[in-house]
Amino acid sequence: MIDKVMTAQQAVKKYIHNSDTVFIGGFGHAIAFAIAHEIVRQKKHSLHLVKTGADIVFDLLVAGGCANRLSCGWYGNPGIGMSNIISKAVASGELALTESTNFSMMLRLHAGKLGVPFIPSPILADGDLAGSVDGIKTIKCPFTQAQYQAHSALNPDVAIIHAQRSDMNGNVQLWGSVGDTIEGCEASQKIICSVEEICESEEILLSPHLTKLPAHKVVAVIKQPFGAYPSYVHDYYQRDERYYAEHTSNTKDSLKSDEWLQTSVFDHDDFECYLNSLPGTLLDQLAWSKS
Amino acid sequence: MNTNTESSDKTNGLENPLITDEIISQARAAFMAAREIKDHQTLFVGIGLPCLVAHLSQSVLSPNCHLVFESGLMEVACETQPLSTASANIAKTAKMHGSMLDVFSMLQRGEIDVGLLSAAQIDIHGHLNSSRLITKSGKTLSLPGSGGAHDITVLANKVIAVMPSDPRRFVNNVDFITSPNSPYGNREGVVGVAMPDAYFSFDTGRPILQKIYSDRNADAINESLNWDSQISDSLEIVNPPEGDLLERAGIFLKTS
Repeated sequence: MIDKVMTAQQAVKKYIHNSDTVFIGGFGHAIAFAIAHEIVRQKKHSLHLVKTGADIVFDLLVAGGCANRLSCGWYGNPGIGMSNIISKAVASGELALTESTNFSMMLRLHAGKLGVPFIPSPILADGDLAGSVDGIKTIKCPFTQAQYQAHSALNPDVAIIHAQRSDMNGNVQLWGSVGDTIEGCEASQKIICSVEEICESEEILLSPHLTKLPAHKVVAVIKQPFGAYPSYVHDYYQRDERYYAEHTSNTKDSLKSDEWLQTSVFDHDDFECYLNSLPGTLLDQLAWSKS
Repeated sequence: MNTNTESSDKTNGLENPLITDEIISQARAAFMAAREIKDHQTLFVGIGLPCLVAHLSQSVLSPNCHLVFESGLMEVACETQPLSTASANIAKTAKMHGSMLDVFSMLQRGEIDVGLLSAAQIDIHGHLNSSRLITKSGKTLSLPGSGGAHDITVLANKVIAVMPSDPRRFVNNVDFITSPNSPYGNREGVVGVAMPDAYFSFDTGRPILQKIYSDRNADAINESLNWDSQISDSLEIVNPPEGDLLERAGIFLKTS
């Protein structure tokens, strides 16, 4: 059995290349913050980021200058507001934004997962988003002659995700709200995964139904407890609500964004150092509660 | 804690200091929408006001309704306000953790009875905008975008919009058509919009003031908005939510 366990530093250096198309895992839950921090720290650039709803981890990658293209159905700070960083990068021309819808992104990743060139759907036929999205064209159903939109396959070079646990070989177990993570991973050529815990393969055999990703595509397993902070991980820890509540004002202009990037990423050698810089009892306070 | 309690006594006779104007306003809009939902229906729930509609439906008006969120959470007990469709509070009360593809597939198959959505703007055609606003000076103000809103609008069997009482949100033509009221196949599209004073239907392709709260004046509400609507010949008078419904809305909104 191959031991794929490595540090985030090694994984990002080895498997993420400038100009790659990257799927970022975690939809509200288990967001791959630790790996994203490392991408910023290593100053990767010209990435094409792919996602349904782009959460605040995208602010980190865009503010860090890592991306020049974003394809998504939504971007912002969920339930709170706009992404000042992405709006500004789009307005200045640094970031090319292709806005579609969450289902369209899902269909395109699903086509990638199925290994077919496109999937037909009635969405994006009308309205001001129709016709503006690369990778969508009108087709006729060969059976009924009715018109549909063909949503072309997306096959990202790499998916970065966070999950509850894995063995050293990359049998990744993920549960809770999975959102778009599994489709995104299966559409991608390879998967880099950080986990709360690395367990023995014998333990995986006790719950193979929780193994959601095929190990043959997992190229790196990173042990990083709290690797999805400030988002949450089901059965492990709650979201840091205060972080999200303050994020929009913490990134309201370039000066604030630079400061935010500096204190969360560049001031630290790795994600563990960043976690250690957080106020003493914060992570304890985020302990998961069943209710 | 918000202590803005000024008009709670005038509006409904309640003396509970926790029931603020803002809670009353949201509860009134949500109750107007929740009255349109039938028991046992399956609802696809957006973030914001739609969650309060889902909560009032599930806890009082339509106790057997099924709640679906775009993250893939299904059979959710929506007891506290979620900030996102994947929030832990609803993940913990969901009886099924599916994927986003699972729930959008249900939507596309026609298994969602009602989509509940809010938006920045709605127009007389029932089109919704959640992408960008053009200011009076011609500046473009970006918004987070469709998310699942376009998909829900086109694919749900019917859509009920629920909006705050801001005249700028009700216009003749939205600045950007994120979610066109052009439903797939024989689905009904956006059938109406609930707001804190009234409910407008789009049965005739134009907004008709169909229902109004008993403490509001139909002519005044009809003229207060920035769109060309008309008053129904068979206007229904609705008693505003009070007592238990307001208490529930207050608890729901304060425990996010």
